[in-house]
Amino acid sequence: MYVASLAFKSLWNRRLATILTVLSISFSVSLFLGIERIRSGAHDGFANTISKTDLIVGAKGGTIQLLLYTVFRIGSATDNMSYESYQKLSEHPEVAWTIPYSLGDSHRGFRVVGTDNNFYKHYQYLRGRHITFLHGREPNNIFEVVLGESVAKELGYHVGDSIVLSHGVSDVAFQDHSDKPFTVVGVLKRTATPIDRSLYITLQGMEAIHMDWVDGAPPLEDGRIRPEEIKMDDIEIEQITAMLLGTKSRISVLQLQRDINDYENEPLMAIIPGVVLAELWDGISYAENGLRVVSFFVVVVGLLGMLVAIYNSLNERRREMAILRSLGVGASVVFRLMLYESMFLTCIGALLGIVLMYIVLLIGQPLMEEFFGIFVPIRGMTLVELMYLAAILGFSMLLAVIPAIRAYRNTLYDGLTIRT
Amino acid sequence: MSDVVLALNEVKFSYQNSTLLIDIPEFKVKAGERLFLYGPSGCGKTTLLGLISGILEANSGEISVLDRSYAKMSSRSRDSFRGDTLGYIFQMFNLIPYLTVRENIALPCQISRQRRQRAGNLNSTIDALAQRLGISDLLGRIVTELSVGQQQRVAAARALIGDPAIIIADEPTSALDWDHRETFLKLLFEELDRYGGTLIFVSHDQSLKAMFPKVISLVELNNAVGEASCT
Repeated sequence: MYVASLAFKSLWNRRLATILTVLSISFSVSLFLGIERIRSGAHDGFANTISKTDLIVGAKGGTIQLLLYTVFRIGSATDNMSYESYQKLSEHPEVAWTIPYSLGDSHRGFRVVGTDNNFYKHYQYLRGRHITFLHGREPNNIFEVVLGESVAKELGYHVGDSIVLSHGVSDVAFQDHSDKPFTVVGVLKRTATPIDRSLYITLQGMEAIHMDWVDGAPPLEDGRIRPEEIKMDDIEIEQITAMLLGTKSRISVLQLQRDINDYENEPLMAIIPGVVLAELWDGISYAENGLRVVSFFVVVVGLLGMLVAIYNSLNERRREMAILRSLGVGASVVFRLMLYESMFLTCIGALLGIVLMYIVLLIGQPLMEEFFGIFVPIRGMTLVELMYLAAILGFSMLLAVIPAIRAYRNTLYDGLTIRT
Repeated sequence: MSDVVLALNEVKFSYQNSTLLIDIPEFKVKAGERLFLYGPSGCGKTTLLGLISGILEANSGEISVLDRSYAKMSSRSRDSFRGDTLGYIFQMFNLIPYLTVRENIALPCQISRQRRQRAGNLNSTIDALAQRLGISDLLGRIVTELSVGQQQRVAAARALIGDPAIIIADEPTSALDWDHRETFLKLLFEELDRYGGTLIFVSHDQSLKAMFPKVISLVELNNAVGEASCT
């Protein structure tokens, strides 16, 4: 027992070095655990980019591609689906709600989404949150546009501003719809999802800017239709790019998916967002593993710091060891003393690290959710985390053997000679 | 049990294959003796103390303390035997810097069960010992705040606690001025008289030898060194 007490008192005597060592261990442990939690939060957040949507429907093609262009606004569709099929699906008895998406235009690198008011009513993200307005209202007229929060912030747009959309989704769009400018009528609240990085117009608006186009080419001067001439009710929507839908009962999702995939009038495809999101996440999980490796090495560095601190203290403690030997302490006890010191440092460091992690989570939780869309739940320690901690402790004991052996050999060499 | 507490018989020692450092045909110390062992540097003083305390092992010959031969003991049991039977006072820096004076004095009794038993009630024993050595008011202090003279008295108290059979004092007074040396020795003698402890006082300072009933010179004792090599 006196060995542990000596170890503790000796550490306390060198409090500055001890506290610094403990802090560095606790920082690395909290970073390790924190990163682990943020990682799983990011995973959940990724899976929460879209929520409560049971199926995404588009023209037949790649499933991940469909997910990417509907949810993440990446890439583009190879084909459209007819508005007729959309309407048919909307009336399906199992379908509770639908959201049409008409894509293909952009504004200064941000995607333009043609949709209807169902989008503001039914779209959900992050465990069932709805879209809300920061300023203004939904677009009700052909040439009205609502901006995602990032679009408004980065381009400095306000309600009432007039903007021009571009044809195509490349960053350097070559065709502007300059003859038909849009007026900003609303800005959405931040969602920390790709929703923020898009502009939203009505399906009619999307149709209207292409109304006078002939075979994918802009109209000549004399073929142009002036915006004033276009009436909301006159516009007939023929095609959309994709649609989201929610079912009345989740039990019917699989059957509905099969029905859509076998739809006779048109080659359609339906995907379950959660399933494809998981596939996508698996594809990028090497980044996740990279993060894990980095945080592991942070812990290794923290423990190496402890090793250096203890090793450095050995020389100035040779006298102390000689005194202990004269009092009947064996060299093996000196070895144990050094191990105890490392154990103290690692245990206290790890405990402090856990506390620190919870404090940071408590403070950082709302901020991370707001700025990165990552929700990190505050829960107890999991079995896996406890196993990580046990591994850290084991590894530190392994490292502690190095200074302990050194102290042991010093002790045998010095005997009762007091070296100063 | 004979009255010899320490006996060396034909003891030879050298580090691996190097020159012989210790060659002592016979050396006996009787219980209760106060021995002044004159040892100028270079005479194998440190080596001899290492052998007596059981830190070093003799190449040949026999060393026994309280009739127990070191040759038959493992290094581990020599360690605990040392804790039980020897009190050691160094020249200086005797104390563990991160313990209080009281904790320093109590330390041998935490390491050796025998000494704890002999000390009886540890706190009151320390109080009484400190009283006699004039360090009562230092007990709660941090050792780094003490003067050298105070430190050596605390070191004496620590060596004496739990009545070890032999006190080995390795130049304990060389850091003190003359007046303090004499007082220190007198206190040490008084304490040893209380329980009949034996003192082996090693020093190169001949001025103190008048206070000792028995004086042995390491130069004569150790055949491995000649007159010339000791200074």
